[in-house]
Amino acid sequence: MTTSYCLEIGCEEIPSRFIEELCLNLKLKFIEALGRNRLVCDENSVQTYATYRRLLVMVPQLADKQLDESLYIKGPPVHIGLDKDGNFSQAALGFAKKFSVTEKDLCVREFDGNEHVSYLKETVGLDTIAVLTTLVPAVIKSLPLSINMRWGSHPESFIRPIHWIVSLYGKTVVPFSLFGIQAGAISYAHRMLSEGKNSLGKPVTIKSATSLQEKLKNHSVMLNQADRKAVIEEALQDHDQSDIDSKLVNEVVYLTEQPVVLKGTFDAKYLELPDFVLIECMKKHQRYFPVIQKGKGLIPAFLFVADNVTAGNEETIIKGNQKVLAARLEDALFFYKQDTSVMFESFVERLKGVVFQKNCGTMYDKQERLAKILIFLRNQVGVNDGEDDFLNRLAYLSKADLVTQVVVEFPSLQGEMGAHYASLTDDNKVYGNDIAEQYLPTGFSSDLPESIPGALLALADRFDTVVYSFFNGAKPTGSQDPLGLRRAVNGIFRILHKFDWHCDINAVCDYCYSLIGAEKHRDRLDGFIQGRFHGMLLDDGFSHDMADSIAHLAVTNISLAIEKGEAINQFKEKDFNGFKLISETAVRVHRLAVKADSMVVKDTLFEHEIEKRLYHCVDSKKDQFFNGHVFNGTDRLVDLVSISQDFTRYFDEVLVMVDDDEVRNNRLRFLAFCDTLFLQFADFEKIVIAQ
Amino acid sequence: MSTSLRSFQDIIADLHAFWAAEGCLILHPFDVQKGAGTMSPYTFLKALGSKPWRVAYIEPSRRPTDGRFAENPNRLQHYFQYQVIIKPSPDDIQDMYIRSLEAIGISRKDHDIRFVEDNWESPTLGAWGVGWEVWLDGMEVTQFTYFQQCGGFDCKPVSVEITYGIERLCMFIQNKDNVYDLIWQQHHDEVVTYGDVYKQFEIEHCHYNFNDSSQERLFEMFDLYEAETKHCIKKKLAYPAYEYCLKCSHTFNLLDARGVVSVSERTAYILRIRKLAQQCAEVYLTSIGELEPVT
Repeated sequence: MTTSYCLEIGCEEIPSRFIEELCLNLKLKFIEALGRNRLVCDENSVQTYATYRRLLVMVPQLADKQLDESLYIKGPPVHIGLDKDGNFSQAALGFAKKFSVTEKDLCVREFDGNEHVSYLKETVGLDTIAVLTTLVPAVIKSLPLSINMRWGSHPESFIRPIHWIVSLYGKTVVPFSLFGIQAGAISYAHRMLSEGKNSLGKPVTIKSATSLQEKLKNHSVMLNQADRKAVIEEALQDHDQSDIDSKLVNEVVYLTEQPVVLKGTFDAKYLELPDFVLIECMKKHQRYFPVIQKGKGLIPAFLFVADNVTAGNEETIIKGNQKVLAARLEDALFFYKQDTSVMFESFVERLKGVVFQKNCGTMYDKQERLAKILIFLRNQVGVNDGEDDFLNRLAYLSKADLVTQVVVEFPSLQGEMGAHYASLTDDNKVYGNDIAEQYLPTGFSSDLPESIPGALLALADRFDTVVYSFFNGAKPTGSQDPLGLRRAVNGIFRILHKFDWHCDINAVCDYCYSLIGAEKHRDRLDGFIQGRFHGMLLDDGFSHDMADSIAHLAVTNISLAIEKGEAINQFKEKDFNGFKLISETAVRVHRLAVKADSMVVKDTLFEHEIEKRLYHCVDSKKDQFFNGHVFNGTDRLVDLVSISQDFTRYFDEVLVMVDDDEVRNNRLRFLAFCDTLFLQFADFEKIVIAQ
Repeated sequence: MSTSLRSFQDIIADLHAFWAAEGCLILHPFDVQKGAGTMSPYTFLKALGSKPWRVAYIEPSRRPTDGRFAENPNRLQHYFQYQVIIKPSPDDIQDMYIRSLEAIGISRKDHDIRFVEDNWESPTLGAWGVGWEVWLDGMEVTQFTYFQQCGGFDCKPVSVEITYGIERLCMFIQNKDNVYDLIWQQHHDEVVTYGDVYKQFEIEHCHYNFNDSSQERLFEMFDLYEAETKHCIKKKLAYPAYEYCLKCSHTFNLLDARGVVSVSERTAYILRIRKLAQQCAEVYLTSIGELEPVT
């Protein structure tokens, strides 16, 4: 027989940002524990629900008994468990005694190919309720929590203090106790909308596991997050919202049990503020939705999601929220007017008072370095956009917004605010877009700069920060990266790749170090950049071995490295034997090449015709291999196949390690020269050859 | 309470009456300048150790950088916090809080009262806790925190701290848009406003904080206060030590308002204060016999 089980943990307000993760873990841990305890249910129909003060699991059709179990228990191996006559030894009898069985229950059985004394343990399945009594509290305690807390005098911790637990198998309470709370059949209605003795809400007796959701619904609690989301989205659409922020919707879904979307307005005088400032004021602290209508744009209104709305208090709630927003907008407008009462460039001087990083001077110094790095980068990637004067001015204005009052108040508006202030004067207007784009990309999948000067500035800013941070001893890791260096390097890669810029990262780092005037922790920086590149290749779908084989190329030219990797992947598909030949030849050449003392080859010392032919062939091709601007991966792989075929003959006819020092060294030097040809394509030794 | 509109002083009196009835001691402001009610020894020191503690008090709070020469209707460099500390945190503390709002005329039925995550950390005190900001129709009126650590020591048992922004609440209750228009007291037809009491005070302090304080002397004072804190710590006198530690903190805030502390120096100053606060906590715990003296 099967019956439903339901668990409800009633808490003080749980932070909304953790709820989805908590539900997922609760579900996984539950299913895993049921399986481990031989309790059969339909795993696919296990559901979790959550609001800001409840976490729920519903397990439909849970069997009423554990499955029976027959299990052979492993005892001592036979050479210990049996005496020389084949009888059970003292050790075997000790094993029997430990499990309270007798000699006649013992047998010999094979475990992993070895014979052991054993006995068949038959376990009759227990009643589900008895099992759940210990299983459920163990599952709750095992939940991984992003932030946990202690309260009162309890030694244990949880996400927030627990107030009640409903634990019902069908109509029967599955009893246990946690944090001094006895699990039972009493839940609580909405905190404010029900008539309770206190603000826990009205106590509601739940008759059976399956009736909980319906019962709470009658007491102003919409348990299912999907239902609440639908209510909120529908109401937002009713107000002609053209752009619904789904992240914000997800957040307010978990800030409510009975969501009601209300509309407030604000004085049109605040429309003087740029839209993005208004939006920031509404969303950031207040979780309001700005009203952006098709054709009209942002109108002086906002939508917000309240949780305790009745016919009697709706007006008061709207008025209260309008007042709060008005105060915030008043502040923002005050700052905005202060900022715009002076010339935008006047803020640049104030950057002298803002420290960039410890021992790294001020943001004013940084802006001066950025001008130099910008010009260096422009030449490095070989673009024509941006005269020196233009780039100098762009760098000069790039950080000015950091000391404006609006950005001090709303740091996330950096860049965008600078762009806006620049756009207010004809002289500076042309820099606006580039100033905004310097902070792109903001994350893994966010937009990249569109304009070339914007992209150059984004690169310059990141190179300067990364090199300075390493110079200062930064050691970023996956979990410890306060300066955001991993993100910065990823940004550099994405931008270079997008614009298909051939950029010698090593050279840019050299240049940044030269601006500091000393080189420190260079090895660590190089390793870090290679590691990030490797990670990006994996993200882009390259296999581990392919990523290994081209990671060393990142520092000189990332776009080319990716092109090479893709060319090899395609070539492997098309001509596997050709690829295999290249790979084997490359490895063979490399093994000998490491013995060479230089790469200066004298063709007069060659004795075989094949030596001369290969040398001239490779020498004539080298430009096509080393000049990134004319590089064609597929053509060069075809070249490598023909070179490798010649090498097959070469190794048949030529003995490299001859006694004559001069001849031997010359051959090794030639191989070293060929080795660079292979290596600058890929480190073929690292590619796994398997079809 | 008055029969008409609740005045600023009525609200304080009503809160005192409410929390006294919940068994709290009603204490008085601690006479050293400080940034927040949490910094009073009635919270910082008393949250340490195992002995129960229930207290409510009003505390003037100084945030020199927040001054706006009385031109901003919401921001002040000197304002009041109403602070409640209960150790161990009672199970029904949220309910008590909501009832305290009703005691000052804010009914749960009439408003949208919400508890929205906001965790609290004080780098200078080596203290942190988790909790919420309480929204009253979208306005943040209270900080609600379960202390987890204080002065670097685990809080066992846990204290709960409720900090009401008393001006905000009063503006809400009196329906005023400007803090200086709050009615502090009404006696017959005579009205005294918040501005009557504090406007000039606010403006003069802004001049001092931003423009007229003597930087060199403040730097010297910081060093002197720090030395005196250390001296008291050496003598195992937790309370005097902590008072000088508070003076360090306020002096640092004054320097910060002058903009003479760079970002890197800032961190160094905060660390110096935190170290003092932690040592005060250690001396305090030792003197109440809850920590083995370090030999």
